[in-house]
Amino acid sequence: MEIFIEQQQKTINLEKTCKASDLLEELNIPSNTVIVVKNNEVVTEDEVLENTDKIKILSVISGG
Amino acid sequence: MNCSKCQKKAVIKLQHASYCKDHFLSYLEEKVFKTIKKFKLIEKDDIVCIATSGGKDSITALYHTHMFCKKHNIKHFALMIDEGIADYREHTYNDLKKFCKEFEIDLKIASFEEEFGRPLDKMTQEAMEKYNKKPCSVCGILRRFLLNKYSRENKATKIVTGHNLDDESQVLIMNTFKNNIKLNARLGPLGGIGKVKGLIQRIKPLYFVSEKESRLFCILKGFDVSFSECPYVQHSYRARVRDYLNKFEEEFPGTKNGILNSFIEIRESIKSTVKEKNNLTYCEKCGEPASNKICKTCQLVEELKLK
Repeated sequence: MEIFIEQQQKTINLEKTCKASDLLEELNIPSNTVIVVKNNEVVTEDEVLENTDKIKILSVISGG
Repeated sequence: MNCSKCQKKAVIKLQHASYCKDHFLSYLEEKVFKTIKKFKLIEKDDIVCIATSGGKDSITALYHTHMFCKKHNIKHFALMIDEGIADYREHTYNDLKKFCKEFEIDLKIASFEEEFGRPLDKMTQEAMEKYNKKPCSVCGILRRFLLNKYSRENKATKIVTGHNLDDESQVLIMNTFKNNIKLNARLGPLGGIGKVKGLIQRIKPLYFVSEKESRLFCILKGFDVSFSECPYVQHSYRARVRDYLNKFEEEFPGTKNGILNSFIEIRESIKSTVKEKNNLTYCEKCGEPASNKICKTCQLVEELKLK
């Protein structure tokens, strides 16, 4: 699956099917700091992400 | 996962429930309006200045305050401070202009360059090298000064800020870690330690709203908001506390709410202790409320040779 990580402004590709929460854990991103978007739809951390999905991990931290 | 109130697909899972788009938007509005009413943040005769940067928190605060004021026929306007941060502020400014036009909100603008003769970008190097002052501290002092001045000149009785659950829990922890507990007296949904002549009271309608909720709100409402991080944020002690707190919240959900609710229980006793020792005066140079003979803004103006 193609994963865009907004805070790092980078896109990575992973071959896997997993829950959004597992992906965040693997990437060491606390779920309260991001919103997961699957194929342009906001999803909860329980959502299963398939290999063909386009994922965006949007950061909720902004300002300063 | 489905919404706890209907069978639609959930967009957020909170500690107590999961919500679909529509139920999340109603839940958030209810939470913000409840905070405004419970802590009497806005009353009938108020003129409300909504301090806004165009970022997600201030847009969320602006939208909900505008809706509340409109519903209760209360005068209000938006105020943006342009600090002069290249590749950051201009994006949020454009988003904000569009937003205010769409909702017919009067938008006023004040800028560091106009008021102090230089944008923040041209102050930070000297402030750090000569006076060991971090950009956030310079920005904070000057921004607070302008917010108060411009809102007072526009006859405002309250200033709304976009401070949220994350900001407030971070600052409570920072003050505790640095043994600055008396600074906590100024915190809470209704800021300050009481009414002070010349100082417009600050209010925080998003006190119990998390950063995640405010960004989700902007996404679901389709508000065009830039999500860029301030380029100076990495210098701050706050960013370190923020990251630790987020990791803690992940492991122990409800931590941030717990910090705020514990504080609210003891807030009045901290306030009364500090009130007795309060020696607020007025700056000999500019006449603005200050805790010393010369206010922090005038000290900065002198050090950095600003206008």
